[in-house]
Amino acid sequence: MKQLLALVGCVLLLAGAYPLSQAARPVVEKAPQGLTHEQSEALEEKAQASLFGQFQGSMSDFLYLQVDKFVHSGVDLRGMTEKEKKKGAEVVTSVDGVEKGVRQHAGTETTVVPSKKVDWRGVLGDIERQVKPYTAMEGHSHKDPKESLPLYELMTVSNPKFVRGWTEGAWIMADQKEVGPEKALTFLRKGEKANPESIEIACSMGWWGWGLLAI
Amino acid sequence: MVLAVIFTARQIPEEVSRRTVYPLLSRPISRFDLLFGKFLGAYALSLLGLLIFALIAFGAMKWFGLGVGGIFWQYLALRAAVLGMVCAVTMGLSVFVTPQAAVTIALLLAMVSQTFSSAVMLMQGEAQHTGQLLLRGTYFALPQFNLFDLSAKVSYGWGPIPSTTMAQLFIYGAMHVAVWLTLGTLKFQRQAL
Repeated sequence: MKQLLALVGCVLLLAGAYPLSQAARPVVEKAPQGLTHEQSEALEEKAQASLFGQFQGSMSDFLYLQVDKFVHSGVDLRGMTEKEKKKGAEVVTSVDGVEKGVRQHAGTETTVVPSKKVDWRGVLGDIERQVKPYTAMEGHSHKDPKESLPLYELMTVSNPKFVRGWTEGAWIMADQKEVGPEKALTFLRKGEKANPESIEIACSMGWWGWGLLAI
Repeated sequence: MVLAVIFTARQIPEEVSRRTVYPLLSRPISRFDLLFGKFLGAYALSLLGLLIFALIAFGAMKWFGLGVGGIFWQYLALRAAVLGMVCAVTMGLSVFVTPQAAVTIALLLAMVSQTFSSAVMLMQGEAQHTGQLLLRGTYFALPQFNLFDLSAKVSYGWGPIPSTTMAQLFIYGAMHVAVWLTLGTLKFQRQAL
């Protein structure tokens, strides 16, 4: 008798589980909407979209370069030529670590205005080193990148497909005490919406999300 | 700078084409005096334009509560100097070539000065011996207007530059003015009117 009652109870529980399972559906966020690959390809065949895309790309590249210039106090840097690598021009290195949120130097860059050691222009070279933003960049430290955050906001507004702008901007935001990882995550969510296929943005979100959990 | 070039390039060729150069030269003045006088006139007008822009910039900075440091005045002094160079180069060129060509060449020299300088610095390292000599020679022969541009230092909040550098720049500018006006005068003196 007891066994029969237990069986009926189980059947009733199973029957009651169906409406319960319908009521307790997991809440899943809608997947971010961005342009699919096909949509992007279709836009490339439209003249206006292509021109506007070029403008967006140029604008965000320009702003990205401005950030680099800003953290170096206006000193222009460039990649070294093969000859310079062999001869040994002044190498740009920094004392700041990656934690400051600035680009690291791989030891293959030099200043656009050459150092006195390698300059053949004599007085004119000395004048240029005084007139242009120039300082010896071996073991230099960077300006606080916090002030460059508006540039990241602008570059991602002008070109939402510029993934590096979203990830680097978030890195700098997360590093600031008054802003923190929450703001970085909000910023990255906007980036994810525009670039749903980007692994870099998803990784950054995971990184800063994990950081928040750890706190 | 564009106004300075356009205004200067027309001075001598217009006097010649309108034949108003004859009554001018009938007075007790040499052709150098005429050329130099025209240069001074064009330079004064360019300075007036610079003054107006400087006043607007100064007013805007004061309006937004931004202080103007010593480097701002140095920037203006160097702009004034470079305008003199631009006027002299254009005046010299306008005697050799048509006004349109003088405008084009002078504007090219003025506008792409920084790019040209960076390109020479980059290319001469890669060039062979003769190429290197040519590039270096061109660099020293052409006026380097970009050396007078303090705008990047002003934008990134650097301090004023040493007065010796300012003096060197004024001497460099004066040398170019003298060379281009002399070249222009030599050609103008031999030119049949």
